[in-house]
Amino acid sequence: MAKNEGEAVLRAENLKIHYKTKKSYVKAVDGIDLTLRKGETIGIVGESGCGKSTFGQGILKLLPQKTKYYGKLLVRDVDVTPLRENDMRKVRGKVVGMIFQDPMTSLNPITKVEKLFYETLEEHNPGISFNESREVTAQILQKVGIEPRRMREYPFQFSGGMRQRVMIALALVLNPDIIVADEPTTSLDVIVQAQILNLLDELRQSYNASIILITHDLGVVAEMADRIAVMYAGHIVEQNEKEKIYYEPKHPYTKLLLKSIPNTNPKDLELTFIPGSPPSLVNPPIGCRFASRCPYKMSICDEKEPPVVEIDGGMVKCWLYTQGSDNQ
Amino acid sequence: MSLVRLQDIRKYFPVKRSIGEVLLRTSQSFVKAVDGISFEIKAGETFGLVGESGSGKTTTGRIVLRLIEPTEGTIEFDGKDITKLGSDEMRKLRKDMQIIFQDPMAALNPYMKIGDAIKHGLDIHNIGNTQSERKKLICEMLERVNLQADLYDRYPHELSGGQRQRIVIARALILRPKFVVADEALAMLDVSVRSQLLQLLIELKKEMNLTFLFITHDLATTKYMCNRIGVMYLGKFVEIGTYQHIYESPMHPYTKALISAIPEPDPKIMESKKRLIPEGEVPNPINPPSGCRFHPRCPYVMDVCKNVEPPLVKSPDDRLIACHLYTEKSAVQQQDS
Ligand SMILES: Nc1ncnc2c1ncn2[C@@H]1O[C@H](COP(=O)(O)OP(=O)(O)OP(=O)(O)O)[C@@H](O)[C@H]1O
Ligand SMILES: Nc1ncnc2c1ncn2[C@@H]1O[C@H](COP(=O)(O)OP(=O)(O)OP(=O)(O)O)[C@@H](O)[C@H]1O
Ligand SMILES: [Mg+2]
Ligand SMILES: [Mg+2]
Repeated sequence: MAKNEGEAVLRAENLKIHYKTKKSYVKAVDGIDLTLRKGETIGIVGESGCGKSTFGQGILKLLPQKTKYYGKLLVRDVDVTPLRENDMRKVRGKVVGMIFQDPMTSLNPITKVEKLFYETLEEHNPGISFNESREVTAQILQKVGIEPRRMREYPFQFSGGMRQRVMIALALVLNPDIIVADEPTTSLDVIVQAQILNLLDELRQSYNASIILITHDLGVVAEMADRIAVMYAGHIVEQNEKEKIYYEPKHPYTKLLLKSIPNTNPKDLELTFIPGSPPSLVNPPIGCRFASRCPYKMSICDEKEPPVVEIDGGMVKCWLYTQGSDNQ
Repeated sequence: MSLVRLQDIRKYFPVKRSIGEVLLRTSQSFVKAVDGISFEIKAGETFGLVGESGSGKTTTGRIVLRLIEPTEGTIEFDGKDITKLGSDEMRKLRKDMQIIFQDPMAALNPYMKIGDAIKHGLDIHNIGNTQSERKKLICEMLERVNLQADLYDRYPHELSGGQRQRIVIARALILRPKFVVADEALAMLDVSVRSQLLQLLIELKKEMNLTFLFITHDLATTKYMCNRIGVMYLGKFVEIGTYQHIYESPMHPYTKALISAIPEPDPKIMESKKRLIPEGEVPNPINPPSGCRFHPRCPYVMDVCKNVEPPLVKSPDDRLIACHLYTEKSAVQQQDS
């Protein structure tokens, strides 16, 4: 696939998303640049709490009202950061489909599945009848492996994995151009996971859709993604083609993350992880945000935020790779 | 000594009928979520539950803790039959039996600050003498699950998925229970934090002789945690064995398929990886297939599989397996008689 050519369908330019809490702002996304092209899948990985879901939901502005957006977020050339709720409704579902991390909270548990689909379909096809809607629903449920007759039930009657499949079907039912999938398969067994990932990939190919795939499963990204963006504490610290990230990681965080993958040798019971914890996002450090845990830390790392440097066809945000410093 | 013992547990959920079906007196059908399973967990042991999504793992976990009632079967805890125990007596046991829910958002009260949510358990069970002592215990526990103390005053919706999950873990472990049902407890964590928490669970296991029912889709973590692993398919066990049995030499065709489908964190391997994805529809727990429940999707299906349900029997290498490929002779005899 053409990686740096296709038309950009989504572009974040120095995007910041800050949550307001009672006492302060949580700078969950704090200046990221990312371009998603037509037909492309970008995998987003990073430590729990680093801002992946915030970015994903920010694309649809599904975050609390008082959330502040800075910079630009272009969805098919329209900057959505200043858009209001009414205009966003047209983007949701039709242009961007969202698969959430927490299916129980995003699927109203006391609305029947058939009604959930009707509400979504009706929003974009006014006048569609309930029976027509049920037909479309039956088809898409079949595709994700759920008995169509179970559309009469409520989400709480489904197992975790089945809810997730309903969620996926709901995100795909309008054939959106961009699919934001936040941990789409974590609550599924690996066989259903493989089927769902195939389905997502088929849809991507047949409609030339683009996918933002947020996941902790480095096996899933290895299979699905064209490019990978690695996030740490509100920043993208590295992005590149998938092979480069796996075989030639640059940023110390990426390197240590990959080292933490458990191997399958039954005799080896050693657990590897990155000691320490990420910084507060309310008052992030002025220097590099990974410095306190970085084995390659230099004095400048505590003093100044590292710039983003282009390297090896990708980008890295680390003092080790800036000109003048001794590479590695 | 076994801490938990389940005997022939079944759980059937009634399926909602439409008005039309009620009028036509269509008979009530049931989702057979759990359909006859037995196992025991020794004190200090971790029993893993893996398998198909919708095969009844969560239902099993809830039954063990009596959060839902089984349709049939008995549950023993610490040598006592608790199947019919009244709610007062159950309440006394609650501190010792904790659950880490699969869906942390649904498990947390949205209007309670997360610090208070953890403190609630300490208050109820009178752990820690003063309020400040309790707060200190909580901050220590937050640190052990790799969360900053500044999350104490946040509400559940103000956390990330993996942070919420760690709150639920902290809330369960701080009570120092004897037995924990961990339902996909580490699913929303990145590999590094997941390993860190695995380490914590293993430490606590040693420290307090903690016993786990460990439900997971992530087969890699079972290696570190589980003494034995049960593989479920459509409400039943198809195979029970050690990590080595299940991971290195799976016998049941469903287990084989499951292991082959695990994605590997390596793009080159993924490109050439051959998966044994079973053909056919995801089965229906309302009308499970006759005979072996996996037979419509099994590449090795034989005639006997369509009619006779394979029993769960011990194989020479000490695992339990329910498949006619390995018990063919006895099954054929059964069918003839
Ligand atoms: N509504 C909110 N108000 C305040 N802070 C929030 C809110 N939602 C999330 N946060 C904080 O923002 C940060 C980023 O959260 P986000 O959900 O984007 O993380 P994530 O990368 O998706 O993590 P995970 O892998 O655990 O899902 C976290 O530190 C979280 O505590
Ligand atoms: N309250 C309920 N009412 C009706 N059916 C239910 C109810 N709870 C669970 N079920 C059904 O029971 C079956 C088993 O569900 P369970 O949640 O135990 O599966 P699971 O193995 O935990 O799956 P997953 O891996 O997807 O979490 C499913 O078919 C589910 O739809
Ligand atoms: Mg998230
Ligand atoms: Mg479950």
